[in-house]
Amino acid sequence: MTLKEEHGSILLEAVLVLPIFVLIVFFVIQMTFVWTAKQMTYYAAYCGARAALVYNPSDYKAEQQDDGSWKTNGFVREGVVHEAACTVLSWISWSLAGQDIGGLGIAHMANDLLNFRIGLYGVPLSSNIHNQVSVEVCEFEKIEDADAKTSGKQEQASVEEQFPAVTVRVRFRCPLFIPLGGMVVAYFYGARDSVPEEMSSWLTRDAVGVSGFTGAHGDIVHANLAARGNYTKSGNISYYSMVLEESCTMAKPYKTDTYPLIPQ
Amino acid sequence: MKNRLAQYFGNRLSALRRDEGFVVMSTLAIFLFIFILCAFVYAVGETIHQRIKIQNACDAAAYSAAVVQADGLSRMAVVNRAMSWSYVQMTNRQMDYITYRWLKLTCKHFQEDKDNAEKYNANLVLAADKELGYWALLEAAVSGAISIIFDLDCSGRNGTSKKIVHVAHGEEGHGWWCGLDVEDRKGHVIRLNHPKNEKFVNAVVTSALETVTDMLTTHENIQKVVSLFGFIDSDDSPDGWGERLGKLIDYDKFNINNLNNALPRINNQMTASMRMTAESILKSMLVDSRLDVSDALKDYYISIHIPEGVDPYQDVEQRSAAPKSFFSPLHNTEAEEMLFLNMATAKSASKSLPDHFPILGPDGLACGLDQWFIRGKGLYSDGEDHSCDSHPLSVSFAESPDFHQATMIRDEGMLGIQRIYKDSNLNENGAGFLATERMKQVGVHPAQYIRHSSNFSALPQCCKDACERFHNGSTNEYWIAEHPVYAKVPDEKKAVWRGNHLIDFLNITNNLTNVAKGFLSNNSVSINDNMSQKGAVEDRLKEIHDSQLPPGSNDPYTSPLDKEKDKGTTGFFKDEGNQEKMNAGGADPSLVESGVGKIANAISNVLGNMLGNFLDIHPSCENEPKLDYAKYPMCETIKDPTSALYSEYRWGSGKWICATKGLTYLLCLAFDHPYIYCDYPSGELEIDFGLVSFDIDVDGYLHLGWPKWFCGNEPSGFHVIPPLIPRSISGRHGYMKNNMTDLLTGGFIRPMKPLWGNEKDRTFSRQEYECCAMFFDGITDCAVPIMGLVTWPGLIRGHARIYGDDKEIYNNRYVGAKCKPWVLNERFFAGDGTIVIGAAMKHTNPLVQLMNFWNSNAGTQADADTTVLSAFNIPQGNYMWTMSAARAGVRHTRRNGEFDQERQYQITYDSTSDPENLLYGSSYVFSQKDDSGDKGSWVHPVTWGGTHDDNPNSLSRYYNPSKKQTEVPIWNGCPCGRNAIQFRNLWNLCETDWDATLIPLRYAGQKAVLYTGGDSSDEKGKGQPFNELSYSERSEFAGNADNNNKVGKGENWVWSSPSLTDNPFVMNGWKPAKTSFFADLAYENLPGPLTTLYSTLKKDGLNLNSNVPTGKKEQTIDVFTILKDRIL
Repeated sequence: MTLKEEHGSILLEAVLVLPIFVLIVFFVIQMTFVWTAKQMTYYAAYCGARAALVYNPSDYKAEQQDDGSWKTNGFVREGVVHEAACTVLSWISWSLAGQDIGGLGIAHMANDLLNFRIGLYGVPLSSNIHNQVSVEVCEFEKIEDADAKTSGKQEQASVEEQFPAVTVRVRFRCPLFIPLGGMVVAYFYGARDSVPEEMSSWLTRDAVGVSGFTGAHGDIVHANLAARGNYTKSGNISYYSMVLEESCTMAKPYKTDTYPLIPQ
Repeated sequence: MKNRLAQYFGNRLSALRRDEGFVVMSTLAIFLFIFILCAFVYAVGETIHQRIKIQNACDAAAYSAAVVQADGLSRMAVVNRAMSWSYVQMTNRQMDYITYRWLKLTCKHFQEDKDNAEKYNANLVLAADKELGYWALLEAAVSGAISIIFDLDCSGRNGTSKKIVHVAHGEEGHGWWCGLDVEDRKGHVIRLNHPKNEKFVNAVVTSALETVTDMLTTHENIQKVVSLFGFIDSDDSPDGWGERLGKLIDYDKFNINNLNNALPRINNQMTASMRMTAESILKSMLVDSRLDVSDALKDYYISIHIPEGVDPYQDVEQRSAAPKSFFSPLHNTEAEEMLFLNMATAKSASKSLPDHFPILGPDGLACGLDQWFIRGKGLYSDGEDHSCDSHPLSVSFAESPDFHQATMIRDEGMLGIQRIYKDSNLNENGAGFLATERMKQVGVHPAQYIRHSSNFSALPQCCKDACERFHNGSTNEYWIAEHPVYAKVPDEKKAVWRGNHLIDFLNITNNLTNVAKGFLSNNSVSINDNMSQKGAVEDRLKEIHDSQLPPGSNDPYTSPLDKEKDKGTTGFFKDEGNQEKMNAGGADPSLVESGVGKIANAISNVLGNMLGNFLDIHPSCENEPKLDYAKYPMCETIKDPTSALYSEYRWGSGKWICATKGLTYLLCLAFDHPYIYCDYPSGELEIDFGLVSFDIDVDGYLHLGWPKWFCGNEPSGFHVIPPLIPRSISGRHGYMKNNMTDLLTGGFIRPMKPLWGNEKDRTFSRQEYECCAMFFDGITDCAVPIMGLVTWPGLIRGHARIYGDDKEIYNNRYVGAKCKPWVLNERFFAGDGTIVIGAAMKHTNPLVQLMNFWNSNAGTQADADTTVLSAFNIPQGNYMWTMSAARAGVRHTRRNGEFDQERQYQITYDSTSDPENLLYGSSYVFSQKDDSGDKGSWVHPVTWGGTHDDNPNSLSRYYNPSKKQTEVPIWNGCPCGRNAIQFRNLWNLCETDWDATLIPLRYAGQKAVLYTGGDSSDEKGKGQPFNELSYSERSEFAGNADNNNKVGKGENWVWSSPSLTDNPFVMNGWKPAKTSFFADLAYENLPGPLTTLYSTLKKDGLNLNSNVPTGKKEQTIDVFTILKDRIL
């Protein structure tokens, strides 16, 4: 036998490349879902904005500001707009809430009752959707007076200067459940040095560490990467996740006054 | 065989070792996989893009149609407002027009009365020079009063007498009796002996002329009213004021009718425009510019639901019936009338009725046409301004057993022409037309001081009411202020008679006659010359005599002079010898002995005899129901006081007696009073005497039946009095107290104005007259023993009321145009008015099928709805669909009296703005979750009650549920209290700011309004729609409101989303988009809001049927069931 014999070289190369190749494939697959989720998030923002169009601001937990505009004062997880976004994103929720029902100590994926419901139908694997989605609604925001800032004027924009539109920002915690691929994506995109405050509680609770990812900010990283949900059947299972944020602005030249107010 | 297989696999293995084609295959496999992933991503994005596209198209179409709807509703609101304005304007003009026509009628009657009274009084002229016929004295709204002049020795007085007697200027243009021309006296005039009084006299003349001119036309206040009209014209006059006003009314009616017709036109145009707008928007937004236009729409299906309102006046049902459409008529009730009138206001706050009709009276709460009236603006004396402009013609008709005359007090406010329309609540001294008990003021109790309770207890109730206690509530001492006394008007007197209340003139004559007889017997004054002169009394008497002859009779006229002669009565008409004596200027001693009383009696006797011979003098029209109204039209009685209108004027006719110089002299001699100027130093009987007036009023002042100017409640005297009388005693005019002390000290004759001093003081301008009537004024008993006078009757005076309804002078302008505003009811906001646009698009991208990869368990209806894009997929099939709902919302301009927030539009039903709910006020019910586990229903707040005014005398009428009043709830006519809510929140079509809003789809799916919320155990079944309840049933539910404002027997009123079984609305099927645009406009009208969308989406037979794995039958998908809880 001589070195000139190349029998099995491809196979050998394939074997050598395979792990990387598989990693790439998984990465591609994961990114596919991420891109899909991103588009879905945009669509969720669109649906949320449309919900804000048709409903009274008080229905989406917005509070009227001094200048007459409506804001949610931060991302919220209540209200009609949030519900609209959850309706869209429930299909890609793929995470479970950590609630136990029936005292069984089991959060079973087949537990349909906790899933997000559309009518009578529960979307599979969507029981955690409300925690994954947060929305921020801004309506009739005041147009900033750039001149006033530079000149130091304290004048407030009049009502007419309010921008007649509603802007909805949706943040969706997309689960990265593809093995390996999820890890790769999470490492590059999911980790944040700073976590949005409203999301920190989701993350620290029941957070579990991820082996292999340690460091000076290991705890934070772990917190970021830890999904809330877990299976308890076989112990805790961690989900990697990343936060996708999209916004949509739609014109709304009117305000509605529902009388009486619709209860939540 | 085995060898072959072994050989084959060996070859393959060796091929592997040879690495042939491995890379290609693996590459292909990998790239295929990657391609699929990319296609997946693309498919998601494409689907989302298409979904957004059709969603935007639906939103745009719905919103655009809602913009058209809002524009149409705004136009309707403008029309409603314009209608209201026109209505108010028309009604105001009608008021003026009717008043104008009544004014004409009143003036016509007045003129007739005046003419008749002139004739009546004409006979009293006993003497005049030939240039005078009879005289009309200065009067206010009076007929002619005649002066009776004695001692008409005007001739021969040239240059000698400087006294001037004030004589009225006859309307015929005759000058002062005997002329005031000092240089050309005709005699018969007693003139003032002060040269400077000439100016006074001239001023008197001038002002008297003015007064006559003014007053002979009409009553002062009538004149005022007339002047407002410009002039009284005839109806035939095209340029006349009345005709011009009438035409304006015609225009108003024309405008209102046009406005009525405009509303249905706007509605029809609005509906058509909405549909066209929605279609064109959908088309423009669904078409992909890259595609062939002709085929661009082949993959789309659309569904358009445009609400169509029905003319509410086409079939006006009973009020309690459910409205057929979201438009309701305005019913003919007080509540809705007030609502309609408030449409006319631009104020943000509610407008009260007086704001619409500022001429209302002080109550200001008269609601409804029937209670509108014009109340004359009374002119009241402030006690300081003595001008006639500020004084009413207030005639005191003292009611006494003798005269039975009604008393009308000054502050009644009924002046000039007053028109009362229909069943007004106007009270005349407390007695309205329809009052069951009618009271009239019969007098005034003087103030008095009671010291003993026993005396107090004996007082009439009116006195007790007016009493105060002194000494810290002592029960023994009371001060009772002066207060009016009322008496109930007997039923038979409720009929108000029109015309002249003739006073018992005989009393005057009786008393005077005796005096006059005595006087004249010795001192005859001849006025024979005057009697015999042409145009004088003689002729007039003859004229009257002849006019009273029965047809065919031939009773020659006999001069009264002759009759007197026949009777042997001496007196005025004979004995020229006395005249010579008088002319000689010597005093007649007999005058001293006769006394004033005798003189007066003598005069009156003659007068009475004469009058009795030639006139049928009745004491009172009232007492003589058998009067010949043809002869005395002023005594016509109008029996029906309930007629729609009445107007009145006041008038009086005075008889003016001018004392002769002899009488004056007599007075001088009799009393030697420093206030009587007797100037006869030269021996000539120069007597200042003019009109001497005495009054007796309730205070016991002495009145003689001498004419004087009558002003106000106080018979005021205008006297041309010798200038030596400097003052008015006790501030009264022409009064003299009935006791000797006063006679001696208080002044016998008092001037109204001092006759000396500055010129102004002596100016008897019209302003000074303080009123415009001259009457005799003798009222009640007054015993003046020394004068032998017992009773002095009053005067010939009256006030005429013209009763009748509009028919008497009716024309079609009395009838206004009916307004038909359109009002929105709750159905509009409950879904009937909602625009719903649906669109479906076929997935043309085969990669979209990749989206259908996620399936859940089978077996449920929603199984087909399980793909990742199931949120917007029509179950089964390749179609994606969506819907949008939009509706016009209203921005209030009245809420809380302020403008709502900019761009804030109400899109839900507010019962406080429901005109029908005005009946019950409005109540609020808080929301709660029902027992079905539903999210909870929001209920409509309703509050009840009006102002909660417990004053039974007020106009507040309300329904108090807490008291469970069984009476029918009636509306609080006052725009006050809680009812102000209604007027603040008028969302019905008087708000002109409507704008389009997108609304949740669920709002389109709600059946009309409120349900009672009852369950199946409810006796009414599963609850009833609120608008189907009768008003009594509504009140019953409202009456059960507890502290939590739950109504309906403990249940809340809830919005109802009907299920399929409850509301099987006709499916408005999907139509192929391509064939629908501008081609097929025959969309079915839904009987109600679009609550269910049964889709029969077909493209060449495509069905929306679920593919139920467990079942083989096809079932129709209730898309709405899927959709109704969704947010999208």
